[in-house]
Amino acid sequence: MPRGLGVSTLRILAAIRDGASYGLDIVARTEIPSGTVYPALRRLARKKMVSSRWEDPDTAELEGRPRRRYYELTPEGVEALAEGVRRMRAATRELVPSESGS
Amino acid sequence: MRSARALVRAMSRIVPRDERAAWREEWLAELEAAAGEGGNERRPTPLVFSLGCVPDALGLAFRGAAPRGLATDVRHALRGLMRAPGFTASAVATLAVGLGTTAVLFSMINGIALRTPPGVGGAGDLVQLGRSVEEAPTWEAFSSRAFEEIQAGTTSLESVAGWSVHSFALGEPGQARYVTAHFVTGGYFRTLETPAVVGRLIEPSDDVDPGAHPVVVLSHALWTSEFGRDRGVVGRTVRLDGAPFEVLGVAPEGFVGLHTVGARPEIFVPSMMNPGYQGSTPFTSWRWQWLNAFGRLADGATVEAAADELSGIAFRLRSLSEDQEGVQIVVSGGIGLAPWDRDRVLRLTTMAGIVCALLYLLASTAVANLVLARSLGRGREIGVRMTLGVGRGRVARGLLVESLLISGAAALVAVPLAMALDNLLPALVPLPVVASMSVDGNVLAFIAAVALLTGVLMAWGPTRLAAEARSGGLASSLRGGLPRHSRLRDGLVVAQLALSMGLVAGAALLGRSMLNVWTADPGFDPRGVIATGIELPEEGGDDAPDDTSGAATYLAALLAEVEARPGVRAAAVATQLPIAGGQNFGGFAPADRPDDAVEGESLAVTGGYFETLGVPILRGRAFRRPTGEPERVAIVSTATAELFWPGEDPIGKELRGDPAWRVVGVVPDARLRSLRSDPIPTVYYPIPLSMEGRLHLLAGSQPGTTLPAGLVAEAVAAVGGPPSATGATDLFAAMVDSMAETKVIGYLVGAFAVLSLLLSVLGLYGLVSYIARRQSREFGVRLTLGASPAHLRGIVLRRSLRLAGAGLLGGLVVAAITGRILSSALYEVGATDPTTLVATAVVLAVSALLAVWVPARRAARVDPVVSLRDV
Repeated sequence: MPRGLGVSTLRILAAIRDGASYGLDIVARTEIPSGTVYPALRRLARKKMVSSRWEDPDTAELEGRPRRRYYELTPEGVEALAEGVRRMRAATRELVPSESGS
Repeated sequence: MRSARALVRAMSRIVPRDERAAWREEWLAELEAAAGEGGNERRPTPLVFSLGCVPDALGLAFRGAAPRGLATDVRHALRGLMRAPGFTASAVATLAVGLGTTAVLFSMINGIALRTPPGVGGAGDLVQLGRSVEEAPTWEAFSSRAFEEIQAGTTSLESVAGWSVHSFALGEPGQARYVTAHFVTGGYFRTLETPAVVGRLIEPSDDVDPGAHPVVVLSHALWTSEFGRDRGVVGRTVRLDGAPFEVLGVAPEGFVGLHTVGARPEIFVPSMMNPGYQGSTPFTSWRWQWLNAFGRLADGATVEAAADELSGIAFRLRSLSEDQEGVQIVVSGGIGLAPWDRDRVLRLTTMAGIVCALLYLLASTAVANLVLARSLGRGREIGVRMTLGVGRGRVARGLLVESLLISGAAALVAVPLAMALDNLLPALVPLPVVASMSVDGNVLAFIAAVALLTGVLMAWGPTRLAAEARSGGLASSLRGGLPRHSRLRDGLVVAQLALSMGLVAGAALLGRSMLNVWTADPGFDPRGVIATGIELPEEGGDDAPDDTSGAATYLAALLAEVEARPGVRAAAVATQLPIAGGQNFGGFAPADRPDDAVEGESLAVTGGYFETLGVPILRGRAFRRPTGEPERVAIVSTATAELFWPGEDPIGKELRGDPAWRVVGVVPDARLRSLRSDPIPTVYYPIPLSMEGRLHLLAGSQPGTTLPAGLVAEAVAAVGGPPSATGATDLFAAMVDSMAETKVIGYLVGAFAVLSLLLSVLGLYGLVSYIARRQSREFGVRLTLGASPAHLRGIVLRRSLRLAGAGLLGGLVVAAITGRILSSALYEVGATDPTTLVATAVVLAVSALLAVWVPARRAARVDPVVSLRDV
């Protein structure tokens, strides 16, 4: 992972970590547009940072709706999120002094 | 919800097959969730939410096709543009206007020259033939005899066809109207591979013997307007010039043959039905050159082979008739614009093209400037991104993506804009262009290509700045460390000013030309004169052509009737109208020196002609009122008199004729053809009463009155003559219309000039505001140290006015070039008219001063505390 994940991607990972399980849920929690969330999910899935599984059809039928696709973090995803957060912190430290300095 | 689902289903088609079902199922489930349990207000509406499936599907469809991270760049750029809606909207709108107008021009050229005319098949094998002579290359029509020789002699052309424009009175006597007709040879429609919409078209067997084929093919438009698209029209009889013609069928919609510029033909009639003129017909003549010719290449034949063969036939023609001396047959491959129209159209499109290109250049300069200004303001953001590890190439790519998004959006706006403008185009073009000019694939490709190019060029400036920013590193970029002076940006503003000065000067020159047209003196006074076409009554059928006293009586009665009507000052009959219609080139010479013949204008008029048009008789007298067979006399123009009898009294001299024409009067020279042409030697004859065809009745009004258009028609009815046209031509309006080219280009350039002035003033304003903001800290310090606001204002003003000055100097050059380009549309004003140039420079200088003054004043009023805090 040479350049690291972008802010939006990190926020999506964080949302999943915090319990958002399917696309709309992530969109609602992060307020990132759906046009960003889904392509990001595909990319993360390709990088094996998230995995997905289909909801149990019986549960869905019981609630009278189509089955959903649920996402969860893989160990790689957990690690990438932690690494991303570290990088963001470092960048913020570099920024903050000049902001408080004037 | 339904449209959201439809969108998902539609987008699923582009998702790779192996993922498609799962993809669709996931999205439909998500939509279901989005529609249900609405409680959370942070959740988007289902429709907005569903839009996300578009990038999702695109991402899957083009996975691997795009460079890594491109999607992120696009997203990033889109978000950036959304955050600056004012910038985005003005950039897109400006570019779209430029693109749209340029596209319209392209679609005009496309329609006239590039696209196959409607209803023509196998266009690639068609060639057009023209008659020329060695000494003076030209492109003319052929005589019937020459046409037959070509037809018989060629093997490289599988078929040859000819056509000629004519006009017929269509309808029952009394209700007839004139329609434009094409006489066509029997092979015409076959050679063009034109199918019939209804019935059949004219075939070789319909065009064999003179006068023997009273059949007609209707245009689709006439079939629609006169017959309500009744398929039963085939076999019906219509009247053309009073004679019955049987309808054979209907030509395809929009069909005009190869005649893409000119009046649209409404009917097609076999060439053998040409009624001829004054009792003679063209069919056996070598002299009567009336058939425009084209042919279709035989299998395997090339245009070069056809040209070789036809030059051999041309040699044969020379040996067959004296009238064909030096004749050449020139061949032009392909169709599109007929060769004889090319010059006219080319001149107009070149002018319009250059004006559009100027505007486009200006629009893209303005937008490039905006983009540049924006990236200057984003120095800090770029610096931060680079520090966070984003490579320089990646930053440049981001900027490129952003500028491509802008030009792409502009292209999307430009397409409907071009379509809307296209509908206006026929009304704007001063030529009756009949080709369809709608937006087609060619035009779309053109817009896309220009937009792409613009996007790439616009990105150049910001990309260079990004490179400079990198060298300064994060610290400098955080201090706003982009270069203080941007030469590129200065250059853009100077270029903008120069370009708009060119356009403003062009508009001013054209405006003055139009004013000059309004006050032009063509040598006669067309104000208040109306003209209507009339016919002479037929005298007891064709058998008694010599009995002409009836015609004289009729004309005299008609003129008396018209002159008796209220408001009429004078009236006359003439064979042609000055400027508005018709010209008759004739040769004339003094009776005693036939070798001194010159070519000039000759027209036949009744006595009141000069009075009606306010032309003074300089010497001698006017013609007498028509009473019987007219006198053998002539009136000459000053130029004719001086040419033939310099320093002598022309009255009583004779012009060649049988018997000779005695000169009885001299009138001043007049510009009878157009305002642009110099007066040419002219001879006026009395109207011969054996004349067939159309005459024009001119009626001049008394000062302050306007004559009703139906006046002549009423008078004709009152004296019981054959029905005439019902409308009237206003000669003054016709004269102004004859300069329509100047008017149209004038409107175009004028509108662009206003737009461009606005763009460049905004550009200058933006630049000065930017400079002022950049230096606000410095100004704060200076103010604290005791500098006066006036001093600060001076600093800003000096720098800005240097730029404005450079722009104006460059503008003089651009204006001179624009003037030169437009010169053929100018009328009685020089291309580099000093008054116009100075006035333009003053307008621009004042505008520039205004654009500079406001921000300069604001800069000087800066609050030191604020400016020092606000880094």
